[in-house]
Amino acid sequence: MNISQEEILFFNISGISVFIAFWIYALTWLNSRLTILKKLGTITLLISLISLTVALVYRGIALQFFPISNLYESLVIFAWAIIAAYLFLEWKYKIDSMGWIVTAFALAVFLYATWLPANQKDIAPLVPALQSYWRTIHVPPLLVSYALFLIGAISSAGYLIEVYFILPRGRSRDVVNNVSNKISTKEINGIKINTTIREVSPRATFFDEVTYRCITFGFPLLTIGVINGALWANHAWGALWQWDPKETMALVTWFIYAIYLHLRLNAKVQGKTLALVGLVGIAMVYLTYLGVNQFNFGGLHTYGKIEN
Amino acid sequence: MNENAKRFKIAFLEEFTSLRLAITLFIFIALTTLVGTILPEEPMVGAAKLVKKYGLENYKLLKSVGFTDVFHSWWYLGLLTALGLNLIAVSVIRVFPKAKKAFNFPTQIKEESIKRLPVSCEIEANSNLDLTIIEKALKKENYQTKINENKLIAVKGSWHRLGASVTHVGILTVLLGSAITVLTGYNGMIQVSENEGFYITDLGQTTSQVKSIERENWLAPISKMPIWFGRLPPYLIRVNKTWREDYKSGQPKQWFSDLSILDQNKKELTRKVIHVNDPLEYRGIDVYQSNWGRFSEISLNGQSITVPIENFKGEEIAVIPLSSDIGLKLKPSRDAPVGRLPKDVLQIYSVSLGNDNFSKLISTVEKGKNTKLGPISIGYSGTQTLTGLQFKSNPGTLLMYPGFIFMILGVLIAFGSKKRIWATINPISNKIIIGGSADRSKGKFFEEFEKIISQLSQKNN
Repeated sequence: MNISQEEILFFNISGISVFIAFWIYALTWLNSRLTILKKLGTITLLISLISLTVALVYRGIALQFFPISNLYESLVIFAWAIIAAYLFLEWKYKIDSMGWIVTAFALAVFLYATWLPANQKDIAPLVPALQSYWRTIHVPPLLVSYALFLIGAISSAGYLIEVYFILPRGRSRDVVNNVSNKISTKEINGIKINTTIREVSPRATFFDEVTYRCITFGFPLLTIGVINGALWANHAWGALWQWDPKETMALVTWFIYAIYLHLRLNAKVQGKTLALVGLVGIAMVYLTYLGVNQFNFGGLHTYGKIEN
Repeated sequence: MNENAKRFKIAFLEEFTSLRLAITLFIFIALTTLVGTILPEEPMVGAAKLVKKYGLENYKLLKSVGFTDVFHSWWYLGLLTALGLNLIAVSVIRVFPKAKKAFNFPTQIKEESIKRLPVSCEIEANSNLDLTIIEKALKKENYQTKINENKLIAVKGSWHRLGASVTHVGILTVLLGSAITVLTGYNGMIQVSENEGFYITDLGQTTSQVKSIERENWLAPISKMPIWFGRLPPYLIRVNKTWREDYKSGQPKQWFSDLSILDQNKKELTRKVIHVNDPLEYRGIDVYQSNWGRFSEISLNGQSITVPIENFKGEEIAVIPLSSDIGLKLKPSRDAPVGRLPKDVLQIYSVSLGNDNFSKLISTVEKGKNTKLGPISIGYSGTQTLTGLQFKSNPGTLLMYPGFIFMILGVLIAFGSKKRIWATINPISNKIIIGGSADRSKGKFFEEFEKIISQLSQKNN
């Protein structure tokens, strides 16, 4: 079955909107005074999210089930999750300075999905193993957690760039006023509020916080996704855990983020270490999500594979 | 116990329950799991493939150190056991006591200590701003408060401290469930045709199914752990009927098997039509539809072989290539000429492998007979449908579900953090010193603190 014209139209609107949003965010990043442009970026990205939702609804109607059965559909939902997670974090934690790079990644996911061979995008019936309501509760939480971990990793990279490249050269615009005591003072209505900070600059604090928040949002979702997967496997194959490559890779990812959260409990652990764990984490997410099939680890999760 | 032994015990427990050990184990397990994921594993790909990949000598070497089956190697299981023990010790000694104290009201602290809190400030006290006004503002933000003389203590989100305990209870429950399953559970696979059945049997080292003394029934071997305390049920599981449904394109849509469970007197205990993702569950035994296929039993020059019949462009056939361009197409059929009884026959066509359209019927063999095609003699013993069933008993599952629920609840509870605020009035300077701390997400707490101070300072002006 071919893809409907409406789905293609809304998919394209969404992709082009992300492309436009990228340039708008890039401009506002270069010049932070362009506040109106920032809002425009958000609106463009919101349009992209809505269009992509409509495209997915069209696909869902054509398939008569939730559209998550092959690599193409999972990439489209991953792009959706990146945009949705970013908009949520931008609204809640003002992370618009990271907008350009997040949209660049979303765009890369769009391009990868578009680049897939045509037969991968076609609307195909489900194989017996995938005909289960578990499919819709196993995959989406995982894709949303991957999106959050991606944004967290971008923030980790930002942190490391700040600490290793920008601060040593004295280029940072706002270094902490009293670095030796690690105390930052802020005045509100004439009252001085002293905050002890772990980090070397407000920007480093910001990146560290964003990574932490992404991981605290993402970790429960990853846990739910993996557990749902185990329950589904028990339902379909009669075993909760079979040491299948995708399962074990997801376990590695889970352990890495568990390490992050446990390290965070220890005040002595430096932000650099945490940021590095954030980056290792996203590498593991990549291996879990795409690597297992790309590098032919084999196993039961072959649905997300590019078939010849 | 002498002093030294006591000291050793304390030092050992300190080290064994340390966060450092937990993180070290996490890292080792993550690394070894990664190795196990990247290297092909024997249970997944088979020994032959590994020998071909590494060569016999290297294969033997890798096997001896457990790299051909990482997840069942002694050192991997050792790491998991160490993590399990560490988890139990940490839970009992460090995590659970914290849960007990989670709802304890914070104790009073001195002015100097308030100034050293992660966030603090000093405000001029006057008739518009005293501790009761601060208390009111904090109550508005859902803090629980207490004023004692000139000191104020406020706390909120104590229940978030339960997160770690609930998660650990969940993981421990899952571990206990897995241990029960490993020690008493079993699983196995069998392929049977319609009107056949099977008994779940411990056949020792034998891993393939064998015929039972009852002609139509089989003995299905189980796989279990070397140390095992489980029991096998005496039931006969019978396949009454099995069939498949296809999409219009010919791709399989779903496989079905109509199963009955019978007791020793052949009395039916339960019956259900199962399909993939919808197993039969009866008193701790689960039977799953795993695969499905039709197979023709034929003989080529006296040598018997089983060929799978597959749907190829709408036709149920098997193709046997004879050379690079010619082959035989076998088509089992029950079509009967008008007025005759249907017979189980095998139609043999010659086909050109490069040309889909070339297909010529050259012979038809009845079940139980032979035909000669030049130098080849082809015999036909019939076509049967085999349903692939998987069965298992997983007694630990009962604990798994609550364990999973606790794990998910735990990570959700741990999402927020406990926030504490202290304030005191210095009677000499007439200043209110106020400060606070939060377990986690400090940035968010600082924002909240700033908001409260900003509201208070407006009152002050």
